[in-house]
Amino acid sequence: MTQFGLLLTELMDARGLDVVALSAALAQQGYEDANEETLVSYLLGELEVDARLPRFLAQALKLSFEEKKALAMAYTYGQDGAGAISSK
Amino acid sequence: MAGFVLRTQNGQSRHTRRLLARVGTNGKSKPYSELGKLLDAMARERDVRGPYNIAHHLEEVAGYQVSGQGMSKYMYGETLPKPKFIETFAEAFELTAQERVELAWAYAYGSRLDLAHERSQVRDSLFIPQDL
Repeated sequence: MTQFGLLLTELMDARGLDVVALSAALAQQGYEDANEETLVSYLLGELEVDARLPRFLAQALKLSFEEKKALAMAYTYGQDGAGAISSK
Repeated sequence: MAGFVLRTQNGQSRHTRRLLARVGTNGKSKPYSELGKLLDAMARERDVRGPYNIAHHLEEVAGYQVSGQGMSKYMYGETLPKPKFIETFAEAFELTAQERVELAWAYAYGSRLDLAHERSQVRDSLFIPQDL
């Protein structure tokens, strides 16, 4: 799992969410492209994370300022070579 | 860049703030994106000016290949660079820890990091009760 995946898993756990619930929360925010399979691929670094996702995650998970900062860092510097396959 | 650069409490140099205030376009009407403004200001602070020179610097220092035109598209927000580009930029321009955070924020959210909020968080974390 990438650093991004680890952080996102932590943020989800802290809110008692699994990928199904996160997918639904993202859809509620108007982000329809994250089915469970895609989210798991993002967590594992099999897919490069969609550039729109951090913004939607911040809203869907109601992230604090510090959490938003950590997510930005993990998204930017912690995908560990993910993106051999680009999702967009 | 030779010489001493004063840094503010939040780590952003006064020079960067002045540059951010006055740069960010190519002199035409179309402005750079927030990410582009930040890339531009950080590169200028290190005496590298303009998309073509930034592209050249990245290739020379890090062996990262991007054309001047491609770099220009990043700066105007016409295309979004890959995370690898941001990481390479941070390394090639030897960004400080604070600058890396600012760049990551702009890249992830397309907006500027709220430095006032950042300062208040630091102040809060340093708070020492009087009765101790």
